[in-house]
Amino acid sequence: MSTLPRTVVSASPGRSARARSLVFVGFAGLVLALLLLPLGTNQFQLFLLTRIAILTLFAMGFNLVFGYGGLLSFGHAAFYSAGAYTAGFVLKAYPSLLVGVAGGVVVAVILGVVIGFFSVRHLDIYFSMLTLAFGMLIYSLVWKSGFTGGDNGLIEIPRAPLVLPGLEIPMTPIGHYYEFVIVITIVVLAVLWRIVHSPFGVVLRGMRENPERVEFAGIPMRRYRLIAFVLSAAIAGLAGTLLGPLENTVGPESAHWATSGEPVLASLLGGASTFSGPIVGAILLVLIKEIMERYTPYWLLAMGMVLVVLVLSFRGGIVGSLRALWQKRA
Amino acid sequence: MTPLLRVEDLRKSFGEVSAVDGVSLDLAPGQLTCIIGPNGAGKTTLVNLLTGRLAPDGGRIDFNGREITRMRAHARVQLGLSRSFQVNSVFPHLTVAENLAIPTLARLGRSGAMLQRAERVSGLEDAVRRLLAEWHLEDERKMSAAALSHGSQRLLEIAIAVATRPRLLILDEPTAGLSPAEKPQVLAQLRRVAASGETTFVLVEHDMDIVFSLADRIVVMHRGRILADGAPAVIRKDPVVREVYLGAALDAPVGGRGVSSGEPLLAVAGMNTFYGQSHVIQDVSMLLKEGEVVVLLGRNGAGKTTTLRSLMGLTPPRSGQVVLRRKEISRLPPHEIAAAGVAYVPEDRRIFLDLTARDNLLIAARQGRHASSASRQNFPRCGSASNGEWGGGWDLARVWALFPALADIQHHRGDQLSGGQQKMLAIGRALMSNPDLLLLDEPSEGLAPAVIRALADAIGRIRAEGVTILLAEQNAAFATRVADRVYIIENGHIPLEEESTYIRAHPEVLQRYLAVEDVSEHG
Repeated sequence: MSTLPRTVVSASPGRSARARSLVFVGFAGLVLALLLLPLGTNQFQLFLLTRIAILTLFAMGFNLVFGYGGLLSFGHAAFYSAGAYTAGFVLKAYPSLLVGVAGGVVVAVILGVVIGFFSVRHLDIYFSMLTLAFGMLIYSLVWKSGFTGGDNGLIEIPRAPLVLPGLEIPMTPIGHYYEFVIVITIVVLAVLWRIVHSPFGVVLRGMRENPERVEFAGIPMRRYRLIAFVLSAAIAGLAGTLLGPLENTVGPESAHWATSGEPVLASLLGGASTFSGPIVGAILLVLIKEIMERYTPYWLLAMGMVLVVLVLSFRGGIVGSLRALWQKRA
Repeated sequence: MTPLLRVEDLRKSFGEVSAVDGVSLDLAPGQLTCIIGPNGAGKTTLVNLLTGRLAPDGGRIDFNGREITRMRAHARVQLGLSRSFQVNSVFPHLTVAENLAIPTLARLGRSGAMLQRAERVSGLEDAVRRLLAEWHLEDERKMSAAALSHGSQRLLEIAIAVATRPRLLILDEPTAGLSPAEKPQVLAQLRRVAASGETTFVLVEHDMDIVFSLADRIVVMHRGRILADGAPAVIRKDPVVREVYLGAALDAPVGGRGVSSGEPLLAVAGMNTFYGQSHVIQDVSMLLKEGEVVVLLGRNGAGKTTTLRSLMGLTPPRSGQVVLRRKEISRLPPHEIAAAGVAYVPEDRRIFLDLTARDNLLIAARQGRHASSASRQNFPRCGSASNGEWGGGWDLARVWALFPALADIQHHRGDQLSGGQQKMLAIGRALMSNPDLLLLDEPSEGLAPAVIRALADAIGRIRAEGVTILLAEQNAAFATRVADRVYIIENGHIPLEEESTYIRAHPEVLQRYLAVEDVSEHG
């Protein structure tokens, strides 16, 4: 037994103190660089970066139940748009960024509990179809009702200032708003990193592998799955709240199932079984779309073809394939 | 002493089949109980009811003085009632250490912690480390469970259940699929856990050596009921139990022998088949002559079904040759093997439940190569009952003539048929493809003695038509009655080949391989 390392449960090899501090320095450097980016970029680039951060959040939240929990939700746009619309309403009535964000997350959580309650008792395709159905239900509500602005959506959502005790930061400059979104994204990623390495994270991956055995290990599997689903809905909702202040408008397409497909694509493209996969996927998706849109009116067709090639040539996603390659070399 | 587990009149049916039909049972703490019985006796269903995988239709279960009849599975585990599964049910893409961490976290009540790193949970590291050492899985701790050998995966399967520190541990065929070399390791582990005195065991097991070496008490199940219950010495002598294992008493061999033309029809040489890492069929060789009835006789888990499935191409052999009339078929897909003239009747019948009995037969109708063209013309495929003359080809009329009971229910849907009728229908459907070789997996299993007798007659009439038959059986009396020759199969290889007549005269041969008692005594 003495030959065993300090920890046996952790899948990753224990790092030395030196290696850990190196990783920390590298991470801090990256965060600093991300926050300093507005100094050397134009408005449009910052707009794109903010979009990438929003999709990253959306995809990371989604991948908590997909990549880690093994449940393919096709209705996450419901939470995303719930967050977006709620934040829009709140900001129009009470212009404080944090209040709007908080309001959106609360509504997304409530919706997550309701949809999750009915969905997580089913598995595989039944779960996917149920979430899709709930998602489309929300879409038709948003699209048809006058309350939400119908086809036009909510317009004139202000990029309200960040109000903290004794401090008010205006968000009108895109650089400020970009930094706000980046800080939120980094905080959420840090929390997610903690969660997937926690006991709950191990159990979550166990549920992906074999939900029945989790139950027979003495764990109330359904309740755990609901918790993961609601967490995931909360993060998707948070991503949605950041959309309105960026674009000044939120439309019903944010609830459409095509929007639900975006985090699915980002996760698959980057690698659903990896932590950073959805980040890479989100970056690529936004960039490919942006470039294609510029060169051809058939950008959707071209983007589809690029995605088919990428998904077929990178089994397990880009990060997943690179990691497999790295492990083979080592 | 109050029983640890009390079961009263437990019932569960699936459609019309009563899988568990009024089982009552008390388990005293500290006892090791083995549940035995033929396939389909309801053993696994009983385990599923006790552990909360299935909800009973009626009856009551008390565990440790508390009613748990409708309690969710995880809550039962928390009370101390755990199980392992017949088919490995681990977490394939998690490491071995993580596989053990999940039940341990549940036991420590920390499985829901979100903001703490898993390895920092106090007590977890020590517990997992101890489990890894005890179950000899230290070297594999970083491997994914899917990469383990079948034997190690089996150990992990049981270790996950033990990691919950159960007061009652129910193991569903813990040695299933293990080689003779691997079994003692599992046995030693069970003895070690039992020695701690904290855990009461229930084992569902087919291996009689293991049952008699471990059990304090044996419960024999048959058709959803408890047939016998007592100490091993008592069970060993119980005539009713022997009848269940030996099958109904049968008299003289079925007639119709000697039609064998002596031409080899099927030759199997050095066939090896794997399920993943598990080497299930080891170097099996067989020779079947045209018109012969040959039986593959062995216990449950000996490799009978896998041999048939390998011949049929359903689990293709990894190496070896299978030659049907000079044609190598071991690399062919199942539909081409069927087209070459082989028909397979699986043990679970697999009839089309939504189709009528008649449509079940018609869907498989196909002209065989074996039948002469003249006889084909004489017997139109879907015609009315023939004059009873037996020519070459099989059609509806002939199947009705073979199984008159089927003719009466030909317009009933498959799911309305009884188990025995479904069995006949499955055989009839196989015949409709006009095979040269018929593979029958445990045809006598779960049938009443009278039906078994009718089945034996039917097999005699099928072989009289020139169809060669390979049966897989564990019912020695039935097998030696209908077959010309016997291949004994044990742990995936064939240690013995004999004429049926010899085996009937020397039943002690079987005792060595099947751990059943006298064959001739009832015959």
